[in-house]
Amino acid sequence: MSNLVASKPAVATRTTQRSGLQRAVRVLRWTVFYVLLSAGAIVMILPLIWMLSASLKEPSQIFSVPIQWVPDPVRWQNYSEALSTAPFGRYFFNSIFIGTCTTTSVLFFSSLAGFGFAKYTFPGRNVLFILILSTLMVPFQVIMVPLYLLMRDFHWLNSYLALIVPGAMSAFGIFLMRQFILTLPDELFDAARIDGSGEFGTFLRLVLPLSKPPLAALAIFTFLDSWNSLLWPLIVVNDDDLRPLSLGLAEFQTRYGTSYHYLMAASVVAVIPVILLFVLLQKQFIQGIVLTGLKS
Amino acid sequence: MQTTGVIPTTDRRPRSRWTPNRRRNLFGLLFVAPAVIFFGVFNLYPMARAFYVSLTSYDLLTPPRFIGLENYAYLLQDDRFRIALTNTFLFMIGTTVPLWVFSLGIALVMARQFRFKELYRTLYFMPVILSGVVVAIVWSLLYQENGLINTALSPFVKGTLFWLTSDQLAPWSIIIMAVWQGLGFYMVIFLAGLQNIPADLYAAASIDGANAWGRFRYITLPLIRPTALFVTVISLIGGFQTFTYQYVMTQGGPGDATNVIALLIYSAAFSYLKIGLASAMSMVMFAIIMILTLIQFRVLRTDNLSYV
Repeated sequence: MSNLVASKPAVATRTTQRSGLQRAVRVLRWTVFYVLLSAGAIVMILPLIWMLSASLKEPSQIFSVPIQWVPDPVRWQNYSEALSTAPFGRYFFNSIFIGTCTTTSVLFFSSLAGFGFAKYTFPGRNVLFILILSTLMVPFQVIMVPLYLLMRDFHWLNSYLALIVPGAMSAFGIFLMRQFILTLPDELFDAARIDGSGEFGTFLRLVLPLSKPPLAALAIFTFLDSWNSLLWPLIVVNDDDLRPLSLGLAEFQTRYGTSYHYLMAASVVAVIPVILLFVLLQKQFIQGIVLTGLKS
Repeated sequence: MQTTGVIPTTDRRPRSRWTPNRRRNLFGLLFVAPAVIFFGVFNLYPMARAFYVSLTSYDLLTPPRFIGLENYAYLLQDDRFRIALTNTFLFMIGTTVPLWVFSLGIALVMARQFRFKELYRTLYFMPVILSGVVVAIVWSLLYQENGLINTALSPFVKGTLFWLTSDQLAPWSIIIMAVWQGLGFYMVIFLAGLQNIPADLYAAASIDGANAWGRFRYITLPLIRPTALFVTVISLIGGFQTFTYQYVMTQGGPGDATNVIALLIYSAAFSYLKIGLASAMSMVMFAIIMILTLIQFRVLRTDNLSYV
């Protein structure tokens, strides 16, 4: 991944250092480089640090000037109090449940359909594929109202069904899996057939295990998307028990918006799992984006 | 296209039309069927219904009443709709341009080798994974009159800046935040695109005497065109659909200053219960996105790109 020639000639590091001055200039350049880069990184992280700091402060100290980064006193109760004001545990569970169901469904059906489109020929195959792809062009706002009406017709409003089913498949996922499965050699499948494997068996035993990279990327995207989604849960859910974390947090802000310390504590809680997951799975995250970006 | 097998046979015809090949390919149809049905029910049908409902007046309580193109006629002269469209375009362009520039810049930096590169890349990417709700909540506190941003700027700026309460400034406050969150994402995409450029091109150019700017202009820029196209398309389309920031931070305010199309459609449908009108708005939104995408694909053509 890192075999790029630096756009600044790397030659300077190899030739003999002609004079102390040249060395000083180089050191200066790299110092400036790191300073600027770090400044940028700080700007990226500062809001998060501020959030953490504010979450442990007395409400009166949050906006004190000059700013105190390390709270004094450290108010751990903010967390227990915030978490008991609203059922964040429940919100959390909802997000995990909805995210897991959605991701599992998307992974399964995307690879199944991707397999069908990639390795089989049947009448209408290309038309159907283009049709499914074209749904990617449709902004959510176009279908959100009729989808709501549909949920109403099905009597699914205020239920997990409404939260999970409309997101259970992904055209993007199908595209991704198809592109990947296309690259799998046909001989593999012929061999499997000769060995007597049924079509579905081939899918389970051959396609799925081989598709780990795109599946991992797709899993991350789908889960993250589900975790962060606000608009659709906002539309179909009114019961507090069913609210996912994003919605719960938004409602909390509406009601307790001026209790900044609670707000920050709740936000930290909402963010920590995602950050942890990210730090652990960094490589997959980034590779996932690269993969999808290139394929598109 | 149908062969009856490699083994030479006698004059025997297959007993039925269902040759093994055909039977096998039917499985393909079976495999894609769930997806096809799903998108038919949850995507294509709603689109058709949205179009139909846009021609009615519907308030969810009484049955829809057909009124033809009245909703569209109303939209043509509605100020709020026009303002929402303008705000949305402002957001789209206001985020895409800086995102493009900054993320390409950072990507170029990240493409080099230096110590702690992985750490920096992680830090720049971190905001991307956060929920929009959390980002909006935290930044709305940062943007307070006595918040961190004003405090940090106070030595340089006379008076307080009303980031979210001024109708001039509020849209830009949201744009700044959106750029903050999106930077890492597009940085990674550009990084991937940059890595596809063969290193020897740069080496050859250096030998021919090109300086850093020349290499950038004649090698980097042309060859990241596909990536640039992708970034632009994604950013513009995503920007057009922006909702969360505005809903959480300003509810479209102050006044209508940050009211964007997605928010207007939402409030028209679920606050004012004007389902027909909301559907009409979404149809207009759809048409605009189609046109935009087509324009982009024409303008940023990549089919005359060739390098060996």
